[in-house]
Amino acid sequence: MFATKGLSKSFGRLTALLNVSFEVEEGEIFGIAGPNGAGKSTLFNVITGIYPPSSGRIFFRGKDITNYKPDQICHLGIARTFQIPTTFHTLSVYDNLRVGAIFGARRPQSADEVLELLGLEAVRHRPARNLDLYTTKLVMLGAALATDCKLLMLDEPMAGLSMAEINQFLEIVRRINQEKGVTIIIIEHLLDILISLTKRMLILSDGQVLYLGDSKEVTADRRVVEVYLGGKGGIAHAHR
Amino acid sequence: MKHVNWKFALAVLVLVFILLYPWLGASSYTKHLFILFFIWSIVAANWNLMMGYAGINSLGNIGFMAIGGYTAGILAKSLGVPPFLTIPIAGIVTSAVVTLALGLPALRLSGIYIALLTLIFADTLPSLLTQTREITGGAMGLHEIPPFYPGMDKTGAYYICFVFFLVVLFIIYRIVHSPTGMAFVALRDSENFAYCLGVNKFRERLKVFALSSLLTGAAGGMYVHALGDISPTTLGIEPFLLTIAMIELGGVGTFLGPILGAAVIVFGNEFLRLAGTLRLTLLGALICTIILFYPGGVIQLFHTIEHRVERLLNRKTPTT
Repeated sequence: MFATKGLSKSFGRLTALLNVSFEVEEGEIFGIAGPNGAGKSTLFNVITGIYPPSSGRIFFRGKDITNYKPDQICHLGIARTFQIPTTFHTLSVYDNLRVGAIFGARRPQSADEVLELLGLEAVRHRPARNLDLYTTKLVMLGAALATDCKLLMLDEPMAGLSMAEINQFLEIVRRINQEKGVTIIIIEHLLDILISLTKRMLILSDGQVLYLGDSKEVTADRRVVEVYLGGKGGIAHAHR
Repeated sequence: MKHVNWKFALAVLVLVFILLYPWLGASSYTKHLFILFFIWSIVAANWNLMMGYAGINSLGNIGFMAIGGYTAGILAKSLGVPPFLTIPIAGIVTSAVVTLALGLPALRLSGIYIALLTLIFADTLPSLLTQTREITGGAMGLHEIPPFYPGMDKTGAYYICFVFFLVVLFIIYRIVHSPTGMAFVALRDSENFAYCLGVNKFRERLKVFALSSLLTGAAGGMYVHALGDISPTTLGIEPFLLTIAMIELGGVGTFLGPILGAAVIVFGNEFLRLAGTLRLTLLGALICTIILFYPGGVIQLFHTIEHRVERLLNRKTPTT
């Protein structure tokens, strides 16, 4: 349903992405991992139209969406969250969802559906600035969901959460995928989580594809172990 | 329920007072002050719509008012167009000029650069006015601009401006509480998030410029017909700073803030004329005091009082 072909992005002389091609199938949860500065967030920003790509093409449901603006991409059915927890901090929780519902989905009632789905009724009138990190992330996810997206892109949604919160969040991500049939691309540092959540994943390193394939086999890949995991699975273990 | 009634009652009381004021022995001078208050609240409220709600740091809104004022003044004086036409035309002309000259370029700018662009825009107007002396009266300005109707007295101007004040505030209230207002705030709070949630940031930004300048330009038209003259001093530093002070003092990004701020500044400024040359110094001290103790502006002071009153009411209820 979604694909990039030879996607590259340079900022001046810095090459952030080089020739990145991958495909995501309808209904799957697709993982993206890679060291800091590998270009994961840049990839999201290029896909969602925040930066135009330097070269390459982006396809969504058979349509070439390269160079579409973020709001147009949203209207086609792609929504995203940000690595830095982002909400409209002066608006209430409900109004945060309504922005996505009214402008993204053009269907106001989707805000109420998301409110129920994520169990945010108790805080619906609370200003978004007075929320803890976990709830802030739920509101950000909720606003994206309220756009009636077909593809949801999550940029390190679990960073900074406790183990219990991570499990809760994963449960929600699975439910969104299974009950609402939303295809998901998720960036995550913790390989263990990604392996259990996804069937296939992409590992970026220095803006290039290091690994693309079955999640189960990623730790057996010699190059991934060498570049990303650092010898004997160093980073993955350090994160545990 | 209690606090809603209390606030509503206060607002109604104030409006009824303003409505009856000319019958309660108001002098021509105090009616004049109220007219200034009505018009400057509108200018401040529209400026706040841009700066407070939409987060567009415009410094050129006095220029919008001047364009509206001159448009209406020239149309009425040189071409004899009646005021009920000059005011909407003033609004539309201002909106067209501002949207094209500022709104479109501002789409490519952000933050301080919008502030600079809009400031320069307003700053070029005085020299433009002196270059077009034949039409605009140059540094002398326009005088004896026809009033709203022949033989109009201060009371007539008072009521016309009061109605305009209510209508414009109602429009702003509706904008702020509509999806458009929500988009303005969303773009201010987090531009990229709003953009990725389907908010067309270019269209919404243009809307801010178009709406705010439309209503500010119309306020400029009201100004010239109510007061009879306009000159480049309107574009001077004092009106500029005082209007900014109204917004900051009242409570930026709140609906009532700029109106309260306009009341404090317009009436305070006149009251302080008693102090002669110390006027602006004392006004500055007043602003500093309020900002120091109530950084959210006068509106924050009101909220504090509201909470006190509520607590008082709640404390009394169980004992009785």
